[in-house]
Amino acid sequence: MVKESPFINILTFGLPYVLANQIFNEYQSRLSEANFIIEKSSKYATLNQNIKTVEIILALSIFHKRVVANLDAAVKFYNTVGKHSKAETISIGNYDFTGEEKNKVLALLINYRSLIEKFGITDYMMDYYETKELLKKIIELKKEFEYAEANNKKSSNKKGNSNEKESNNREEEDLPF
Amino acid sequence: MEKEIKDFINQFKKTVVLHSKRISDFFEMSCYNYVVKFYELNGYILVIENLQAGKYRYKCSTSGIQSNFSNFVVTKTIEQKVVEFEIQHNLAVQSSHTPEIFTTPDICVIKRKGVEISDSYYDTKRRFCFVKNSNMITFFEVKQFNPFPELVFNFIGIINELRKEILANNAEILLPIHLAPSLMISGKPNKQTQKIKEILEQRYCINIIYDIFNSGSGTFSRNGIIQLRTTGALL
Repeated sequence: MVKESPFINILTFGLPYVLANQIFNEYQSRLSEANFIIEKSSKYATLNQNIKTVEIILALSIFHKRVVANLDAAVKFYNTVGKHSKAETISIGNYDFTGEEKNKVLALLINYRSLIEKFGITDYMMDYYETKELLKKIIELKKEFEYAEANNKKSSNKKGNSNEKESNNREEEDLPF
Repeated sequence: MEKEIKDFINQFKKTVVLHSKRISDFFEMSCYNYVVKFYELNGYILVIENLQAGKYRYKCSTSGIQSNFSNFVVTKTIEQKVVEFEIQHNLAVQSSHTPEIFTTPDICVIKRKGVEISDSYYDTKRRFCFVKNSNMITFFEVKQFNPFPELVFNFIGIINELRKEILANNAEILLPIHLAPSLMISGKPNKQTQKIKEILEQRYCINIIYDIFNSGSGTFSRNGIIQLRTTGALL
């Protein structure tokens, strides 16, 4: 059987070696820690059924911290320069960060935000030092989804509307849990 | 969820890969941006000088002549007197102990027209830009790491070289208002590095700012900057 490639490799593919390596090492180290905590502590055992989700959120949080946050910073600096001068390009060594490039990065940031918001992932979730802090936040997120799902089922049962059920089922397919 | 993330990555792969080579420059820019914001929030007027062919040219290494790169100039009028400062990046600063030696903080605020050029620093005829210690107002070190004790204590070595008065707690209050020398770190602290920050800030008039991506916008907000140390001695 072919061993599945770690999810983080999807995010780091094509990145410069040093950066990709930093991200990969942090991911592997935190993932081993997360697996150990989930396996050994009853408090976190609920995540046993959601290991794939833990892997994805962990990978996203590291990518967020090491890549997305810096791209966001570049856009903010570009805007500051634009506010105080007529410059439309920031030169960094031989590279020009033009208005067009800024807009591409901005599009990436907007899409990234809407993607993570769709799954209920906020900046608060990304803000952790210890791996178990992240696991606690994933458990909170899981509880929120389970609560919302239970409420949806209740309201669907009351209405008995089959169309609505179908629509709820479609939405549930998108959820991380 | 996995499929949507894959689709997102495939859609923006080219942009991510292109800009990922400049991640550390972007981080330094982010910190520079926060320093600029501090002056803006304190009522300074901001102007950019030295645009190069209409572009803002960011100096991301220690080499190069300062006038070939762009920087912000901040101006404030106090009691009908106009005071001006430059926010420079990667400019060498003269030691506060010995005039012949220099070190280059990532960002520094200097008196207007304070950049000097020396022909005798290198063995070759290469020119060297620096600011005299007496013309330097404050400086900032920027580190894209998770904080660890040695990294934080190294900053005290730089303080000793560039602002020895801070270690003796007799530094001047430089008016109108300037941030005390600060260390800005991207990573979140653990219990030990948080403790080191607290102790060092009790001991010296400096700022150690961790977790700049998450805490930066709060720290450099109108209310946040009040909490930051400004130049001078501890009471």
